[in-house]
Amino acid sequence: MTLEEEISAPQRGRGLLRAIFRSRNLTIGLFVLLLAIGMAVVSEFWTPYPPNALRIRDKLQGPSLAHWFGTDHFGRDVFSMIMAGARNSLEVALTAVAVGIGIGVPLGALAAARGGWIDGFVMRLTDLAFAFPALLTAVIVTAIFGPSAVNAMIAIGIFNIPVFARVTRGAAMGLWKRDYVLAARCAGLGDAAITWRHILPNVNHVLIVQATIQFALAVVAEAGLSYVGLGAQPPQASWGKMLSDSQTYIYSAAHLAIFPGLAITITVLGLNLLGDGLRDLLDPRVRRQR
Amino acid sequence: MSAPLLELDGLTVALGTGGVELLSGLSLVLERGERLGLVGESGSGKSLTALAIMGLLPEQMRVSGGLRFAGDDLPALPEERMRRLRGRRIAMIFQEPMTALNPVMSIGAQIAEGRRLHLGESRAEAEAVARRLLDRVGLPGPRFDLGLYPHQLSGGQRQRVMIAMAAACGPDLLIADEPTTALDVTVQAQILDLLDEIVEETGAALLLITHDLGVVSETADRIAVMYAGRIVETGATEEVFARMAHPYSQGLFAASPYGLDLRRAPGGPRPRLKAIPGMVPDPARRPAHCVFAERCGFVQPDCLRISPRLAPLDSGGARWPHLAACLHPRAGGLAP
Amino acid sequence: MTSYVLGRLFALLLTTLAASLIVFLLMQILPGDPAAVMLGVNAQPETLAALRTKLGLDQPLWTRYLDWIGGFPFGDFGVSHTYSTPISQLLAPRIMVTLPLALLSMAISVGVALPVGVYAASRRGKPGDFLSMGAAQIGVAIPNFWLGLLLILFFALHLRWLPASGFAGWEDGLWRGLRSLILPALALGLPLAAILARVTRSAVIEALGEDFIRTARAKGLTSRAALWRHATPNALIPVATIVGMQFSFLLAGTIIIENVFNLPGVGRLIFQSIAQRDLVTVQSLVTLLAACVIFVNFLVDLAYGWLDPRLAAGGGR
Repeated sequence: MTLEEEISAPQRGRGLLRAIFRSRNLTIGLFVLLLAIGMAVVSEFWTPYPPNALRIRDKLQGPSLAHWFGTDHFGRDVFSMIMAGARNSLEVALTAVAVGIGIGVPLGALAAARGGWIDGFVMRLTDLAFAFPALLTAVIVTAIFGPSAVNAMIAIGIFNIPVFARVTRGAAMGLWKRDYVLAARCAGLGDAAITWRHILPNVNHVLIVQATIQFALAVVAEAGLSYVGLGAQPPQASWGKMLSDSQTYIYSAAHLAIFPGLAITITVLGLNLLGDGLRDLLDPRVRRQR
Repeated sequence: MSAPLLELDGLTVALGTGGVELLSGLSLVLERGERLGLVGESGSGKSLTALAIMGLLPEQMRVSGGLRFAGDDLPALPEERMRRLRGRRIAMIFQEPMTALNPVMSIGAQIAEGRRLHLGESRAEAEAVARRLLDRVGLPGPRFDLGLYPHQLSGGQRQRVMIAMAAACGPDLLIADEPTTALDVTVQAQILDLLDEIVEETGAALLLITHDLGVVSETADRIAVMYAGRIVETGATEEVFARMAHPYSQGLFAASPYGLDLRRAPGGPRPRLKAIPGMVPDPARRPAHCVFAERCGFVQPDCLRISPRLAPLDSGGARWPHLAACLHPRAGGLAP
Repeated sequence: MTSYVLGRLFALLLTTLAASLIVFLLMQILPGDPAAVMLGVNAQPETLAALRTKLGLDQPLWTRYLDWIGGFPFGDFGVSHTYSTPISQLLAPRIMVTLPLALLSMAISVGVALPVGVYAASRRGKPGDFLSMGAAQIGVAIPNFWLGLLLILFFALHLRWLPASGFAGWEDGLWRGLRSLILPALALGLPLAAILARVTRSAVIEALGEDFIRTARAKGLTSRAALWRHATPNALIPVATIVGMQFSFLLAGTIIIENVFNLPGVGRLIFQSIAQRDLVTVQSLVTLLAACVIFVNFLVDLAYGWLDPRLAAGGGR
């Protein structure tokens, strides 16, 4: 059966099914991302209840029409907190990815353009960075600079730097051997100009896919840091912090543990699907293998 | 009279039920001890014929017509019984010795695997046989240990391992699909000789698939020329080589370095290789008339109307009648 | 082969030293004087100075680094400021929690991922493939600490099969201790299994396309036997890479999971030390963790040789 399937790969009917499945990744991913962004933006000027309003007499209510996702131990509306938490999650993740791209991409491009000891140095540096598990790096950084959402961004961002440096270098290395780069060099362009005009535009697609993946990882990392108390601080609403608060009331109010977790999982799932879809769309090599 | 070892009787392979025909009405009989060379360009359906006999065609391909092995109707055989034939009674040697062996399994284990599977031998028993087989195919110990891995061997050595693997269970039918194509010329002859000896010793039937006429002339008693999914000429090797009744056979011959050497007068100038004009037609667009008509240098008006069947060229009486599927078979000799 | 291993060991040592230096320097940025933290706000300047001398804080930077790292080969990781006990003593009982937890999670990850990945590959494009890969897609997205909470809700609170938190210790028998590690190990291991299953699937699919699979079938192997005996061993090479990377994930994951399940392990010790500004302890533990990651990656490199005879010869491909 296995052999037969290998040979039958480009069969028409199944290929169509796969094409739909593939584009469905993109559709669902985009939908989820837009939903999360929408919630975050709307939460800036409207939430069903103020996410920080304490109403102790309404505390620990289960989901109802008045409070869709119930209320927490302070009587805060969980749905409103999740909306506000979306902002925090996306903000931290976006900044963390931006930090990674902002420093990692130039580093990787430099390593690819210059080669030699610069390349070796950058690569050893990233090797070293990978010896520290991502979360551990984040824990140390937030421990040093104190727990806050901003420091969480920096902490997660620092781990993203070697990731983007590697990816950029890997993709750019091959390009430097291409004829058009040689032609550009003959035309008198310097390394910086070639990188800017010829290399970066051609590694874009790899970076977009990687950025989506890192974005998803950053959402989880932020939630994890907030969960252990090193991320967002009160009164800022955060999905991870909501989960850690929920643990105290897990015997009496399970819904507190369910909804924030669902919010994280769905967001990450959407981003992963988006990443898969983009990869299939942008990288023909992978498409052939699926 | 007992059933022939292998009998193809109008074997047809189509893509899906009633879909495009990849093989059309193949008929041939092969007995133990016989060597049949199946010749043709790539895309003519040679390898597909082999896979059909092995029962390893892709899932969506449908087999119709007769395909019998020792009297068993192979397409109707349950997978489990078919599986017990594979490697045990019908063995196959593949073209690419580089990739056809498992890189992470020792050659000893790969040779022994078949015997342990089919004959229920213990590891030690099967490996003892594997050792003897390796010695036999020219890879003597201790230089060629059973524990070696394929990457430690050269291409020719790997093909010897493949032959040992195929011969492991003493099959009745050996199918060799382009066994020498991927090898250096110097190694090719050695491998062919080895194949020849193994067939001789075991008395198995050999179905040798190749595009190389030189290979066939050396090894096969009988030849079947395939074109566009059908046999266009068949007969005893010397007779076919002597007459080349089908224009395609002639073209194939003229296009091969082997044929070239035969035509070259001693000391004379080197004639040019002749390519057959055009390409093998796409299976989906094979004409209803003679499939070779579009590329044929001797095409006549009726060739574009009628699809010729294999018909005897001689009076018969020979062990293998010389047949050709051509309305206007060439009388003999090669076109200059 | 031996020279290769020795070379790798040397590189490993250098990386570990570099990592320790980074950790050490990072810890020097940490605001707050550990001596002042230990003594509280009302400390006399003289007492403070005495303690600083005792802790060696008045020494120059490089002396302190060498003093600290010099003890590592002898199992001397320094003395915890808060507990006033050698860190090695703090570590010993906690390793007996974290190490079994990590190994159990790894076993779950590999034990689940391999069969699922191989199954999905063998059913490529069919419902079984889409179902198992859909599940894997969700598994990748679930954060382990939330999975931990869900597992507590279901198996501890609803079904009451397993304890919700805490560690029973190994004194009352293997099973008592293991029982308290099952849920945390599942929470850590399952998301990793999801990632690994996807990697396994694509690796097996690639292996199934190779010529030697056809050879195996021609030998009379069932498609199942060809899948397990020929395709899977070839697919294990890329899978091993990911397993090595996952180990680093896993160690970091214990920090959070030990918090979720209130387990007295190394991760929790790191976390508490950070909260208590216990500099030396954080520094030593983080360095040890990094050394672990580096060492595991080294083991994976060695495993390649075992999985892929082409590399074992030491001559590259």
